[in-house]
Amino acid sequence: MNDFIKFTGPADVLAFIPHTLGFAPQESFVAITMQGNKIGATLRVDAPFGLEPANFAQTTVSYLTADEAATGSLLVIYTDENTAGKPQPYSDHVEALRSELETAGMPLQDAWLVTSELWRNYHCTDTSCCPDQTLDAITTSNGNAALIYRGSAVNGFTAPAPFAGDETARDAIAAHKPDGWPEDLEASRAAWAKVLDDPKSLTTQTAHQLAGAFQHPTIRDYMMGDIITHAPDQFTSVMLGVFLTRPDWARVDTAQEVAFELMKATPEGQRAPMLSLIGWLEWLKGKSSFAARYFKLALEDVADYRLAELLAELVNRGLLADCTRDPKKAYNRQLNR
Amino acid sequence: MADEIRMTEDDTVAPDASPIEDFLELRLLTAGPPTGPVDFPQEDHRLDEP
Repeated sequence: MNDFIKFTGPADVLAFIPHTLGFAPQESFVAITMQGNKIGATLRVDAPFGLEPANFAQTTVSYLTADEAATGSLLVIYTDENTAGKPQPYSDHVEALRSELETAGMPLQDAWLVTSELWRNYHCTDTSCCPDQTLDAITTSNGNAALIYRGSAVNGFTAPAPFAGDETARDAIAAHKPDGWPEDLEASRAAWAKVLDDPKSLTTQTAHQLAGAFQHPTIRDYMMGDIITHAPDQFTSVMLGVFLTRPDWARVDTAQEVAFELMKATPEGQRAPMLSLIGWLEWLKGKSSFAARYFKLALEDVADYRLAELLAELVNRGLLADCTRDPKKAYNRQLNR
Repeated sequence: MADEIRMTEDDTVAPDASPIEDFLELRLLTAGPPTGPVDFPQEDHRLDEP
């Protein structure tokens, strides 16, 4: 079934946002591009508290220009920020955005404010025509029901499973950490490839072998690169999501599921490599907020784990994986119906 | 007769070497200021507005 879901009002649009992000935003700006009457790209950035409006607007719109088919845009401001002295929170930032969006050829068509208690139209403060609405109006909207019917769910952040093994696991993983000989690299990559091809072949022993291999930085790097097919020679480009063709995203999903399985077999102090891997894959999918949380967990596991530090910094600087800008290459969550 | 090749410790990879980490450090030199994470997921929307 490929028919479109029809939205009939702003509550439907507001219901759609958590479905596409995977979580309900707070203190955020969400911009949606419109391609005629169809929804295009969805962008979430942190609310620009203390940021200069013009710079914020230019940066935000620079992300949206990835949607070359955009003809207009919608904006949702999620905040409980006090509006003292101004009719609406962040009014200078919204005005700067309106101007930038106009210049970029995707004029702002409408905007809404969502607080922790209500939502309303951002521009119209006349409550006789645009009254405050309860958040229930979003969850009970037809759009929300249609998305759920098609198999979408707002699952939020998936916390990694705690270690569920016995006291021998730590030594077993340490024993499997390679010395770095070329044959170690080949053996680790072969074991990883076998599990990616057949995830059901994962046993406690192979989990310890893989978790051990991930403890060696160079071998970990190669194993991360091996997840992305079609571009084995562009090692560093792959890291930033620069792909020549659309990668096998099902394989990426499998790698992420296997990494979550490895969590169950890996005790504290040895989990950081897999947490970094999971976060990196989230980032490739355009879900930087989740990625940042996995990097934080990695750093809680090993305080100065360098890969997690660098990836966390990359995400905190607002860098997007290159593939997220191209719908032909980007991860695309398919709905069931 | 060919010379015998012996592998030594020099043929192993340093235990803390990481091409990815080296590359990310270089990339961060030209990254912008901190802004917080930016989410930009692509979805199979099949959605339209009237």
